[in-house]
Amino acid sequence: MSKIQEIGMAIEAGKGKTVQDLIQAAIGEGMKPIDVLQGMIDAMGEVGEKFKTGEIYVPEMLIAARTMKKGLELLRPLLVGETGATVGKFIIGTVAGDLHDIGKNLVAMMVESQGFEVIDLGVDVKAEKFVEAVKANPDCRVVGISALLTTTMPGLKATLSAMAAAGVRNRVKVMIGGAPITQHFADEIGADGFAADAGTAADKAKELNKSLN
Amino acid sequence: MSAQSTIRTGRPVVIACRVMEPELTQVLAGAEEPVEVLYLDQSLHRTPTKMPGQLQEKIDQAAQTASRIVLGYGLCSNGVVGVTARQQGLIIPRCHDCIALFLGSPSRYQEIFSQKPGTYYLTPGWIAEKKDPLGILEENTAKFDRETAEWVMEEELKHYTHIALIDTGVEEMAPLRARAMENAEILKKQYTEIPGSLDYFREIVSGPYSEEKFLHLKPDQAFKQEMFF
Repeated sequence: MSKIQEIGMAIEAGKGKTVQDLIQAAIGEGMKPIDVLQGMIDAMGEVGEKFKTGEIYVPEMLIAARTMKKGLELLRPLLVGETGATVGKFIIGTVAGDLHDIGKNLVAMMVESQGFEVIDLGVDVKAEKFVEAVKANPDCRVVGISALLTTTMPGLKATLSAMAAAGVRNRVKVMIGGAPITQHFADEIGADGFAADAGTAADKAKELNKSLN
Repeated sequence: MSAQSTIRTGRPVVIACRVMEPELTQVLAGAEEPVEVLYLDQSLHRTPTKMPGQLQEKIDQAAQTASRIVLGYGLCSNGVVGVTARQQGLIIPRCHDCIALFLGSPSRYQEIFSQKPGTYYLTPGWIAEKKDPLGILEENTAKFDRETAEWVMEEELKHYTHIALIDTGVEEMAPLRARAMENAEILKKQYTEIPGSLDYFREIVSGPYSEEKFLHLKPDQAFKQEMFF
C-alpha cells in the first residue's frame, strides 16, 4: 500500500495523529506536498461518495473532515512555498434562516485546500451581508451559498436578487449547494454554478474563478 | 407477513413515517371510515436519496387495492421526489418537513420557525424511537467512543438554541417532558414546550385534503420538488 493510500485510509477512519505522522513520513521520503494534498482531496472525495450513497452518515463525514483538517494544518505551510500566491478569494455562507453549516464548512475546507483564500460569513447570512462582503472584496470572483432546508431555498433566489439590486451580481460568479439543491433549481434561480458535494464544489469554484479572469 | 397482505381491499391507505404513529393511532381510532396505515422506518430521513425507492415500493403495494393513497410525509429533504401512483394518484401534505404536521399547518410552522430557527423539535414518536439527540448520542457512543460522539453532537447542534417538545396530546407528558428536559440540559439548550395539533393528521386520514394543506398528484404524475415552490 502506498503512503497516499494509507493517508486516505487514516482520513476515512478519523485518525488525526496517524494522518499527521503519515504526511510527515511521506514528505520525508521526498513526496511532493501537492501530491500528498491531492491524495487527501481524493480520499475526502471518496468519503463524500460514501455519504451520498448512504454507506456512511453525518458523524463519519464530520470525523473524516476533522482529520483532513489536521492533515491540512501540517501541510499548508509546505504548500505555500510550493504553489505561491492564492488562487483567489471565495466568499461563503449559509443562506438567511439556515443554521446548518456542516456542508458549508466542508466546502470551505475543500475550496481552501485548492488554494483559495476563504472568507467565511458563517450561518444565517442575510442577503445584505453577502452584498457587503462582495463590495469589501473587489478581487473576489466566486461566492458560495448553501441551504440545507427546503424552507430556506427561496432565500437563495432572494440573495441573488439583492446582489443584482445592489449592482454587484455581475462582479462575481455565484454557486449554490446543499442537500436539497439541484442543478435544475440553480438554473431556475439564475445561479452560475451548482455542486452536489464538497469535492465537486472546489472544482466548480476553480472553474468559475477562471471564467471571470 | 408482507405489507400487501395486511391491506384490506378498497380502503384508503396512508403511507407514513413511524414518527407519526402515536398521533395517527389516536386519529385512526376516531375515524369514521376505516383506513389502512403502512409505516416506514424513521431512520429513512437520514438517507433521503434512498427514500423515494422505498416509498415507491410501498405505494406500488398499496396501489393494488387502495381506494386512495395519502402520504404521511412532507417534502422531507426531497425524499418524496419522483414518487407516483399510476392509478389512484397521490395526496401529499404540502409541507417541507413533518414538524408542520405536528403543529397543525404549514403556516403555523412557518410562523414558529421564523421566530426561533434554531429549534430542535421533539415529539412522542421521536422520543419513543430514541431519535432524540440523547438517543443518537448513545447510538454514536456505541459506534465510536463517548468523546467523539459528544463532539459530533456538538458540531451538529452548535447553532441550535432551543429544544422544543411538541405536545400533541396523545401521550402522558411527564415522561416525555423529563426526557426532553434532559436533552436540553445535557446539550445546554433552552427548553420550551409548544402546543401541537392533530388537525393535519385528521385530514391525512379522513380528508377533505384542502388545496392549502395538500398537493394532489394525478394518476401517473410524479412528484417534483418545484411543486412546493
